[in-house]
Amino acid sequence: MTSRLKDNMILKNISLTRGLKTIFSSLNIEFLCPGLNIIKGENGSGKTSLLMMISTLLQEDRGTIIRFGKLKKNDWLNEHILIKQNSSLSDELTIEENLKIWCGLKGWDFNTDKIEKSLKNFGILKYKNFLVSECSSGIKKKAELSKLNFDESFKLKCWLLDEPLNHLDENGKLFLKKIMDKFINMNGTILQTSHEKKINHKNFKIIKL
Amino acid sequence: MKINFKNILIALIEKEFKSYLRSINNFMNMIVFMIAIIILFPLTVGPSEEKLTLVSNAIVWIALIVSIIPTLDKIYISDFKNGWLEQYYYSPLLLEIIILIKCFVFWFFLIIPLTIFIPIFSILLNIPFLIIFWNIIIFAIGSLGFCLIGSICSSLTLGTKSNNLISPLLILPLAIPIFIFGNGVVEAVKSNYDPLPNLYLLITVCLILLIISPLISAYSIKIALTK
Repeated sequence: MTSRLKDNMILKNISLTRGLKTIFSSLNIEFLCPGLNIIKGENGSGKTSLLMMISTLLQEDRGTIIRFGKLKKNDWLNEHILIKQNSSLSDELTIEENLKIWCGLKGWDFNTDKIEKSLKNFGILKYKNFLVSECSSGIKKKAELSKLNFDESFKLKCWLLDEPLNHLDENGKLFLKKIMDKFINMNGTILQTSHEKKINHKNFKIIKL
Repeated sequence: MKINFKNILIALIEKEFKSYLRSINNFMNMIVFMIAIIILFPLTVGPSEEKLTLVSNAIVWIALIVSIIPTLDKIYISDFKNGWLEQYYYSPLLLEIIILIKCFVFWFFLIIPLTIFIPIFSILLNIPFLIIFWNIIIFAIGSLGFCLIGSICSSLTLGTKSNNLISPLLILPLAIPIFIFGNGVVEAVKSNYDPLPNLYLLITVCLILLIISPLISAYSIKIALTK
């Protein structure tokens, strides 16, 4: 655990272009590890691109990203979760099936009790057998965030959350805060993009793009 | 963290199976399309039995291929749109292996059931039993090749808006070896020659595709995801 405390995440002199548009040039950031990093910026300032780049979905043009020491790419893919703004649940499957298969794809154990517990905490247990195409945006978002509430998720190094509070009701926001605090207490690092002015967490760093 | 690869395989097969089961209309479309071709063809050829015997085998093949092609370019598109391809990218299992499993599941659940219809249509067109037997074998092997070619084309056109137009154009030239060797087997049986050399060549083409298709598909998918 001590070695994990020493680990950090740093962006050095990063440049990123998508198509013809330059999103960052010479970006330097040192993230708070462990802790909550809130990435703020106007629409189109590159918050989502930054998360996607850290998650290796986008390739930086120049510069270095240090992800917890020198983690190999495959190890890094197994050590973080990216929850995107848009739901990544299959419309043809039910919420329970989506989460079960997602756990399976990660190589984690999947059993119904574990998924039901997670859904119950978010207050959407009664929708578990609903097809995703029949659910509202709020329920989809909660189902998506339920991925963070598995025991294995708390053992990861990092959560990348793209606007997790969108579509969430008050109870959802409260429970999300609770699990985020639990993860940070377990020495986890969270990178969260947000437009919210009020931040209820104790230990956090704001990064402006 | 302990990663259970058996769980990944089970999850992947379960997902594909359930997705195909819930979009059964794709399968029904294929069958309706096949029936339409098989019924319309003899009507246009005319009542001559000789003419029909000459083209009957080709009719079954054309019906099968034409009904499969529209579904081939949809192997990845729904997963791409709802973000599952990204989940595959994050999975500890290599994307190439995931693609291979996906192709096998597609072949097994969507294409292999079509072979059940070959004897039915063949009897309707008065094709001899020996040819029906060989047709089933060739189609079972050749269709795996089609799926693998479809995987390449479907992944190449992921990011494009008009993939419906491009995919068939990409699939047809790549599928020519399968047509040639598949037809070669039937012609050899008809002329009382040994059909095995052509069958081996057909298997060779499929084995080559089995190696190159996941590599090309995975590379194209990574490009589409990071675009």
